[in-house]
Amino acid sequence: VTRPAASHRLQRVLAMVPWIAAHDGPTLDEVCARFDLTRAQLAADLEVIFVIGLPPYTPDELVDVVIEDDRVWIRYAEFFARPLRLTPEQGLALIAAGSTMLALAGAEPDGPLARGLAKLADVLGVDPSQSIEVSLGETRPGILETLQRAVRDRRQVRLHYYAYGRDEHTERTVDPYRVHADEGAWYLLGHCHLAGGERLFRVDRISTATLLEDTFAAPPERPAGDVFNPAPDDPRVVLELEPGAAWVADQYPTEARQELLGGGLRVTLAVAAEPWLERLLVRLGNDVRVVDAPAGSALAGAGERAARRILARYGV
Amino acid sequence: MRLEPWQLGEGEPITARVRIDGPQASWAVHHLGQSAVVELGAGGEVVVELPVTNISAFRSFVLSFLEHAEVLSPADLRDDIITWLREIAS
Repeated sequence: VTRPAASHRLQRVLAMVPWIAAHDGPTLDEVCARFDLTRAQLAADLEVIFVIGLPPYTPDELVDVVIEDDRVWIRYAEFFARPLRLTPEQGLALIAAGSTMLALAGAEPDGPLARGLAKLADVLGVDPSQSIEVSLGETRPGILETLQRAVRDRRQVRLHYYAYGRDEHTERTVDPYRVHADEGAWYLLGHCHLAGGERLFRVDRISTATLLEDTFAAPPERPAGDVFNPAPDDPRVVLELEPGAAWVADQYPTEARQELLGGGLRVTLAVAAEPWLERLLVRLGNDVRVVDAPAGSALAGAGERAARRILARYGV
Repeated sequence: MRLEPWQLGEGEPITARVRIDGPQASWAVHHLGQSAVVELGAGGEVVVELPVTNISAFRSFVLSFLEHAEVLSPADLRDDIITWLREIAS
């Protein structure tokens, strides 16, 4: 599981636990439908919930999950019943996090989480709807609205898009399937006629979006995926990261990671476009080393070549 | 007020001037805000001024443009980038 995927999963589990606990044994299919999951994903999530608890992890300190006759029950561990003594800052942080949970797919706007947050907000004397401003990423005026309308009406859009990873500007026609926010940025998922396949676009890199008259068939329903889904034939590189560059393993999907003596990491990353790797390598400098790259590819020397090109710009 | 990573340092900010090429300028200005732009070229390139208190974050931002951006001044920040790149290229 990559770190971004783990983050999504944690959010989902946090929304799922109170909903299941508040309902008297919903069926597994009902939970899957509510949280947009496959049964395999649900089974994996429930395995995580089994081990939520406090030391010494005795049965009374663990969340109890019971699956019987295709139905599931969750009973909270005893620590949930103990009174919390929150500072005002902790309370405000809890309201912020809880409000975010309420915005997730499947959360109940009038459920136990919403009621608990309302009580907490009342004690703190804040209005949760006004006290916290959450920015989901800036976009150019009108573009997000155009895309949302195109998704709703199933109309194609013409985009002028800056592909950051490939460092190129393109014009492309897209069948827009879904607009969603992730990690502080807006994304458009759709079928790109230029690429001939499904692609994910960052909305803040779309400089113009024109709504077209052409329509398209409804896309197949499926759970939301990760922001970056590497193709099987994307080349892989193995990087050794100094401790100061370990954030790379948290920010990008890593397919393998190994801790090194001294606090560094060895990670395997998929490379969808060489400029993306060049950027990473020149930004990290001596904190990164490419220790393996596909034979015959230019990726092993990507950092050095990019550095020389940039130096040439400085007249060096 | 939103603070950029290159503002998350201590001390008095240094004003850095950076030229960004036309094709990348649109995205950069959208991110930085029009108020950062001090020059606009005929080819769409821009010169922006940024208050810097965190040099490593500033360097990382500028290098994310690869060869499409150049630190014009001050000399210390320009030299910092050159020294950094020479170590990678050697």
